[in-house]
Amino acid sequence: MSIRVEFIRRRAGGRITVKPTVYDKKELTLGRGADCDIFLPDLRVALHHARLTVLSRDRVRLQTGEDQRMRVNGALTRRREITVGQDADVRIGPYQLSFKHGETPGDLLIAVELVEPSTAVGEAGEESDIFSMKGYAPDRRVSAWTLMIVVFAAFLALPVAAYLSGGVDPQAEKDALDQIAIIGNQNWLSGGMSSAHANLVSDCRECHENAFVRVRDETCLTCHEDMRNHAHADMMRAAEPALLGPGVWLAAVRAGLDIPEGRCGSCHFEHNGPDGVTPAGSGFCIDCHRALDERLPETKLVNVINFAKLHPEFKPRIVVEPHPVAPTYERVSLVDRPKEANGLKFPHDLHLKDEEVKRKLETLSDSVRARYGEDLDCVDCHEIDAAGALFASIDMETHCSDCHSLAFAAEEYSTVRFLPHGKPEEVRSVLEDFYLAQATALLLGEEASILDRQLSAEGRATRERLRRQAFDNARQNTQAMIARIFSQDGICWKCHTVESPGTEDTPPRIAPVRLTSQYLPDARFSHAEHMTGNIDCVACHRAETSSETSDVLMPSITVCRTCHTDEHGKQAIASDCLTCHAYHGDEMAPYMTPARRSASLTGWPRQ
Amino acid sequence: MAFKGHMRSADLPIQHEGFLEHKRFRWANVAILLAVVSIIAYFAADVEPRPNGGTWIGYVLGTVSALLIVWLSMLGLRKRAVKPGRWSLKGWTSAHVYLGAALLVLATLHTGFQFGLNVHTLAYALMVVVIVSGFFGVYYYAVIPSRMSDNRGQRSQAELLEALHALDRQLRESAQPLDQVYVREIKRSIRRTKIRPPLFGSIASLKRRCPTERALKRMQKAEPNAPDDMRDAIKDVTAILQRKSALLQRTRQHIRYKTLLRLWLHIHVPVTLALLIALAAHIISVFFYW
Repeated sequence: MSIRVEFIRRRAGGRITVKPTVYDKKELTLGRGADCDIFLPDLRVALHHARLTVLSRDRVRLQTGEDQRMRVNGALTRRREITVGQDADVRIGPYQLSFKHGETPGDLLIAVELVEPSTAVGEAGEESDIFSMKGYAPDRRVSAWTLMIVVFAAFLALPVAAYLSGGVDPQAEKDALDQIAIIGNQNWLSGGMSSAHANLVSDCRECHENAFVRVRDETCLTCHEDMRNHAHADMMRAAEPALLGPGVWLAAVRAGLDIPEGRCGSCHFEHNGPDGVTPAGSGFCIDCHRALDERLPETKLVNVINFAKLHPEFKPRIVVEPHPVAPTYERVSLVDRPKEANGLKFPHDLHLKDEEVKRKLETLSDSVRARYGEDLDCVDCHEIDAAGALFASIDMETHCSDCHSLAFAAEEYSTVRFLPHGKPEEVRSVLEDFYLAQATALLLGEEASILDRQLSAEGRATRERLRRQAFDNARQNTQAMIARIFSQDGICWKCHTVESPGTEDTPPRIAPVRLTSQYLPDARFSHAEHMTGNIDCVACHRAETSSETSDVLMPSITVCRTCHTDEHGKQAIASDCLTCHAYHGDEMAPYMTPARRSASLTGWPRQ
Repeated sequence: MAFKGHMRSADLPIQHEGFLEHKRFRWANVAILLAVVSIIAYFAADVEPRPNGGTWIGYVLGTVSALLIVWLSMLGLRKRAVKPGRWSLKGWTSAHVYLGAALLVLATLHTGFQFGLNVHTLAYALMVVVIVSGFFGVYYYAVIPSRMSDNRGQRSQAELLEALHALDRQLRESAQPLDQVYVREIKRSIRRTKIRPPLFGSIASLKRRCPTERALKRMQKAEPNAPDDMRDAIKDVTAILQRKSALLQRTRQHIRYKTLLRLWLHIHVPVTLALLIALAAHIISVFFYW
């Protein structure tokens, strides 16, 4: 018997070549080794992979080496007996072996075929795969389209849709669709809103009413309806300096685009963050006010360049005629050392320094004295008001009467009585009441036990005389008291000028008093902001050396300039025009009207 | 005469003039001038209440920047139209690079340094991405081509691959006498070696575990202890693996260079297109809500 091994190779076009070898042995070795009987030249086969033993005519045994395996009908194994003629699928590495009976009975035919050729080296298209960007970056076209669509949808389509959908009511409850519209609006927001307008952020249309139309003044004025202009619009136009440099071109561009001058938006720029839309710095003001008199000869205002160097001395509004209903005021510069006629006698120096004041304080009851301490201080009388800017008005009962008491009842009477302050016409009746009551009490006390009819005629006459005398005394006392009170040595004269002490028919007249609570009514000044650190009142107000009521204790501008010397606040406290002045603050100025183009200006009455 | 000939050769432009040096840095000078003028104008213009895109200088800078962006993005169209003339592609590219760099200055001044989460800053950010990716492109275009041809030698890409495949075939042949222990490594080298590393590994030139390297090391280590009949084969295989390893390194370096030359464009071009949309949205939004 012999073993015939046939190597089968399938060529292109279906041609099959068979290379047979015949062995006259009962055992064959299989492997890649050159010494093997069945030479299997593939690296997936071991050098000595397996051994084939013929057991009988119909049976063979396959046994692999220690570390090798073969596959029989798909299962990995090391040893297997195989029946010849049955179609067992035996694989050694990439080779398939099949066992059949040979043509001569008793012969064995082994067909060997390479069924899993080695991976071909150099596949088609390999070069373009290896050297391309495939897998390294997405296709440029795909990423470009993706990015463009995302940007278009979120940053162009969405905000326009939000506009077209009619906007979002800032006050109303917001549903999901509103939230999307808000996101669309936010995507276009060019900068943070000022805090005053922050509530409008959800809807651009609150201010930008129409697409491609600038914010109109009318829109601003729907909320800011009572806004006053700075001055007459035409007067301001006359006060503006001639344009220079880029200003000329920009004005031409604005004219070309039909953008009016003097819009709200010419000065107020929104979307610059929470600092607000009010222009900072003095630039806007100085443009006109640095040489105002040249362009506006009729102005009463003095040219200003900055607070630190070129600002006129303060011109406080002082009382010249303290009329009770319509007092007369006048603006007098501090340079001219103004004297105020407020109708009162109040020497500040005496109240702040004098020993007599101290002694007077010592006579007060403990509970009252606790309010003042050992000395009088400014704040004992000048109480800052709720807003912190000014002081509560001085009130005689509250601030003066602890020392300057108007109590008059004699000590033996338990009820203390007071003269009414500020009502000189009532003083007479108050005193009369008091003395008549005194007389009545006297009469009642003496004769309470004696009945009329028990008295003799003489007694009755005496009683009548006494009664008359008592009431006469009361009247005389009243008259004497009034004369004393309103006399030059009287209590009123301490603080007031008595124009006439009055008679029984005419009430006494006190000169009217009008105290000034605000010397610069057009400027902003907060006392509270200045009461910090070791700054006390007398640091600015020279009250300790003021002996006359007519002294105007407002400090000069030079006092302010101790700290307010720098417009931008780099070396000192920031002090621009708007620190004290308000642009729209003049109550006499006309109301704001929407800006018009220059051609439509009418000219204000210069003549 | 020889002397004269020498003179003439010295006069000849030996150096290649790249797009960066084009016409003695004409566009570099234009760009510097543009940037300097813009910076001076920015600081000279006394605008209220603060510098931003809505002031007059902001509008001017914005208009110039927008026109520049549109023109710069047209390089993609221009380079597809092959034509000679005064506006050569080289001149165009030179202007593209330098004016693009100047745009970074102009557009930054246009912002007035106001940034937020909105379409305006989006357009600016996309522009910065485009310009910075362009800087990478310029750098790689200046540096890589010469390194690339040095690395590749005279071989084409196809030849590089063919050489690797030839080495694989040689490995298969030479490994025939070897025992399976060694063959396993050779097989791994042939079948598992990936020529192309992942993107990051490629551009960072990271050393990775390469089956070929591993096979090489094992073979070198195995040789002294190998059975005598296999020693020669191991030597052969080791030599082939060494050649393969060296060739792999060059091929990977080639891939890296090629990737660097192209990767920035995968950012530059799509982001440019997105920028054009964002720019349009930016301009429309400004005048829509004027």
